Amino acid sequence: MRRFFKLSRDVHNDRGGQAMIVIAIVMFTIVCFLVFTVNVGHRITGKVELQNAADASVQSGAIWNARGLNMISILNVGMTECLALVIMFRAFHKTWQTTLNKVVIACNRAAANACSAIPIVGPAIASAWNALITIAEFAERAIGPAAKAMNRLAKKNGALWKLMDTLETMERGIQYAAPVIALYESDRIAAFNNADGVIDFSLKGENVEAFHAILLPLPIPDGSGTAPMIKEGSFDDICEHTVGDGGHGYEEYLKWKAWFSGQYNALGMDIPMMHIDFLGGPSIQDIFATIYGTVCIGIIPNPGIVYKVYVKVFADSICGGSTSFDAPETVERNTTSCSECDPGKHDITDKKWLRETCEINSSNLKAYNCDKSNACISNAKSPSDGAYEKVKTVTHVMSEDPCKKCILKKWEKEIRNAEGEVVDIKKKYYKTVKTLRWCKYKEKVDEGITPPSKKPKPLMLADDWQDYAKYTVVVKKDVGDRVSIVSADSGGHNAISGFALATAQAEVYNPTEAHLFNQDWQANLKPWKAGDVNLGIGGLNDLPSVIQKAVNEGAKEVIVH
Amino acid sequence: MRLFPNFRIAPLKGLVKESRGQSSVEFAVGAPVLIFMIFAILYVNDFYIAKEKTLVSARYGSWKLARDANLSGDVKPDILQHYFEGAEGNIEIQDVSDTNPFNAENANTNITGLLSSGVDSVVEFINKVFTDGGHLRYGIRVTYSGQPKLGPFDLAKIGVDPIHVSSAHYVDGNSWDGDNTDVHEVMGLLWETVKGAFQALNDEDVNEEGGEADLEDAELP
Repeated sequence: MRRFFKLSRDVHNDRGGQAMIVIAIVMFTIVCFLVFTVNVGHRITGKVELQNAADASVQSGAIWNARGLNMISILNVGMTECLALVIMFRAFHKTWQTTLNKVVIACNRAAANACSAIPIVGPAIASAWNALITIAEFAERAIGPAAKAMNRLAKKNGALWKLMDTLETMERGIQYAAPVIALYESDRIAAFNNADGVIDFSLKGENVEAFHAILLPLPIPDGSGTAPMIKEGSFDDICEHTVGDGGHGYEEYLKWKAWFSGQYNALGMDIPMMHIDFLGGPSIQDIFATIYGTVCIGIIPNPGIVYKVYVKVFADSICGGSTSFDAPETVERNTTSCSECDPGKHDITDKKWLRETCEINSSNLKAYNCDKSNACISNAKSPSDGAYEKVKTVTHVMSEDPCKKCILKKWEKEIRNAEGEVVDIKKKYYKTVKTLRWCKYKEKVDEGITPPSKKPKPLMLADDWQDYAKYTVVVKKDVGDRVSIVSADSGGHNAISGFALATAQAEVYNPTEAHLFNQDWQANLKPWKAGDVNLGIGGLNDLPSVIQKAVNEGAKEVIVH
Repeated sequence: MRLFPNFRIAPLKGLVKESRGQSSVEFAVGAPVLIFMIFAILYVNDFYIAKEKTLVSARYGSWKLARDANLSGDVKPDILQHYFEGAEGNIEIQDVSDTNPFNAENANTNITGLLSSGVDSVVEFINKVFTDGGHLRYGIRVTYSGQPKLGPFDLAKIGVDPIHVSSAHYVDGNSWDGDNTDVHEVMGLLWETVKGAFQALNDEDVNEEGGEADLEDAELP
């Protein structure tokens, strides 16, 4: 022991190189601190970056889900606008039919002429009235085609109903597409922010950076056909937002005042034929009211009122499922179909045939084959000078569609001698081939206003949508040490590799009213809660509840914020 | 009896004195290095503080932009004021919205890059249609350029380049809301359909009127 103390004292007494040792120790310590500073800094900034990536990733994913809801909302609103157009067009057509037609105009003419019998003021009234009637006639001609076109669009199985079906189909596509885009975008944003998805499907090859798949349990539609947030609505939902109090209502849609007053621009629509801008920017009601208010005072009901009544009636009828206005009406059809042009079948009002006649060489009309055109001996019309007399006609129907008929006629001319006796009978045979161009006929058809049997159904929010409006994302990133004083081959990069996980949650919400006619869906980060981790991915919702619960519990254990 | 009778202690004492001087010399040489090292720690620390500030400010800026792209002009002064007051001259802020750092290099090199840029284009197209030309991804890059100084010593004087600390953050633009987007453009499609129907109707009328004249009308047999 004494020796030890002596040695110790000797060492202390020998102060040569003493400072060097101290400095070396201190320097080593400081170097350690330096490395420590670098590594801690690296890890901290790495983790900040990682958390930023997680937040941005989940926000971006949730945003695309919100956009999906907005898209569905837009299309739902589109369906209400279609329905409003249907009601409007039907009412317009009906008003035109009942108030602005030739009978009414003729009636007004008669009344105007009768006016002229009134002494003194009569002729002046009559001429003013007639001038207005001329305007009405012009309006009748101008509005007529528009009214017919509107009716075509709005009738059962018309373009507007088909458009509604298309919008519905698009909605159904969007509810599948939005979560997929969300998944993709969420992963891309994670990659942009220098982090990866937890499940990495990428080929870890050279230069391959893209397309990781991130663990982002989104409510992808399962077997039920709708995404968990969404349920299938009914036609009544469209009605409610079209004509009811739930939406803007047809009152706004049905007024085309936009070009004049800037109001009621629900559709931003611009109908060329409706540009009658006298007496103050007119709506359709205004146009009718103007024409009839001035032209037909007291003779027929005011069309502005008639239109409003029809709008109400059609709205109630279509949305209420009533068929009271579903009476058949007569329409004129144009066709080239042979069978439809049969006068025995329809009331043919007009027809056009192409006729070709030639003289033929035949003595047996019944046996003549109409299809053989080489039987013509000369192109000649049937005789009509009276010299010949038609004695027989045979008709062959050559083909059904397009209608082709072959009419064979036998003409005879008696040759008489001076005494007037018939000495010979000259016979001529003619063939006429008639090809149908078209025919018009009137038909009573069901042009009813009730919607097609398969009514369009919008997608609506499920009652428990909030349970599925929360999204979780987990991202990973290598946040190992930047510098190592242990490992020799650090190369300055991640000497000790170690990845960290970060997770974040976001939710989709609607700051105004939560329904799928409101295009105000947004996404926001939310405080992380284990209970909100939703593993309803794909068909996982259908797993037995025991397994699902275990998975959920497991996730809660593993994922630590 | 002494082994070295002529040995004198005095010169040895001088040696001891020199030993004391050596310690001072060692300290004189070592201390500046230590001080430099301590400066280096502070310097590295500053570096990471700057890095973290750029990270956080880039996030702040891009999220703000993503919320409301109209703030594009306000975001930069905002970042400077909130995060880099007094150091504005050292900060460069770039709006890197919709720049895609991966596509450019990956599109040519591998199939996943191609796929990714393809899908990106589709997603971007959808976004463009419904945001009236808004960006798909909003990004802010904040770059801090620091003078290489170790305490009082300006390393720039000995040719050390300025240090750049740069961070970028990207996030998708916040959802399309009814106020910022012209959603009724979609309804424009509807109107196009209506117009098309009108057009088709007119064409049909023309065809009917312009039909071929028949040679002769005849009664149906």
